[in-house]
Amino acid sequence: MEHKIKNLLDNYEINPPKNAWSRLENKLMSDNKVIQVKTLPLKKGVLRDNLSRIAAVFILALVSIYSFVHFASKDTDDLSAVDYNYYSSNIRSIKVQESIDDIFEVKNLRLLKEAYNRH
Amino acid sequence: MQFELSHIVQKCLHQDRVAQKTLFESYKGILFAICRRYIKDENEAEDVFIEGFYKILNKIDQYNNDGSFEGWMKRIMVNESLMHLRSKKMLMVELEIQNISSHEDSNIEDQMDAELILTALEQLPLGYRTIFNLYVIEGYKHREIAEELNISIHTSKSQLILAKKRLQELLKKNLNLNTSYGT
Repeated sequence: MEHKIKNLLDNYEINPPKNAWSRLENKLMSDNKVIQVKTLPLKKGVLRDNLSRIAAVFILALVSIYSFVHFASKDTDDLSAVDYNYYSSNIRSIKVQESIDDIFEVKNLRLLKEAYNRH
Repeated sequence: MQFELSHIVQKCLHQDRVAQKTLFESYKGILFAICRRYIKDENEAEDVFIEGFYKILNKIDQYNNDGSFEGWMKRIMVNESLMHLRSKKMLMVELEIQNISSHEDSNIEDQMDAELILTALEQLPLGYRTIFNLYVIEGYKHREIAEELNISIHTSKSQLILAKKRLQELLKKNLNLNTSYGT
């Protein structure tokens, strides 16, 4: 009986649903797209053709980095890192009543600015 | 035909879409039938079939002319089906049954056809069906089945005997149903 079953089923065909090929083709095509993206910088002419796009992405990246650095360094008291360095270095150059360490302990940059203005 | 197939395979190696479709159209029936034999749910079987054929087309360069190309494709489809069963944790319960006897009914053998067998196979528990397919149709040895399904050789043997016994019962039942509907 096993032999008969094997013979009957070995080359028996069941057709898959009609959209099976289109599903497979889509899978193959999406695979090819990934390959194209991977090989993009290697192809001659692709760089030249997409120069404007690459430049735009580069500029956008620069602007993003600048914005990030600029806003990240902004203190909540509206005193930038540059201002901070300016005041802290100058306050060291003049004789002040309070010790600088005391001022730094306050850790409020606005107070630092006020101390500088007072002297 | 052989020359034609090797020509199509050569073109498939270069990702020729027309050749890929020709290969698909030529073997879709046989390969989908394999998935359906292992996987009861038609949608799941279709997913496995698509994934299996995708692997065939992508790994066609790994076919080393050792055995027939059709056999190579069938093996990929069987492996893909087994992987699916494993991923779904559809593994069989280990059964240690001894002294199981089965006897074959020659009346059933004369009357059965492919569709009747497939219907009966679908009704078999998953473990029985998988081992029956691997042993009887694919020609695996019990040692290979044990390795593939991570079970003991004894379990493979006992489940095969049970599978054959249950299959006979189902074939008999389905034949009687068909006869009574026919009359």
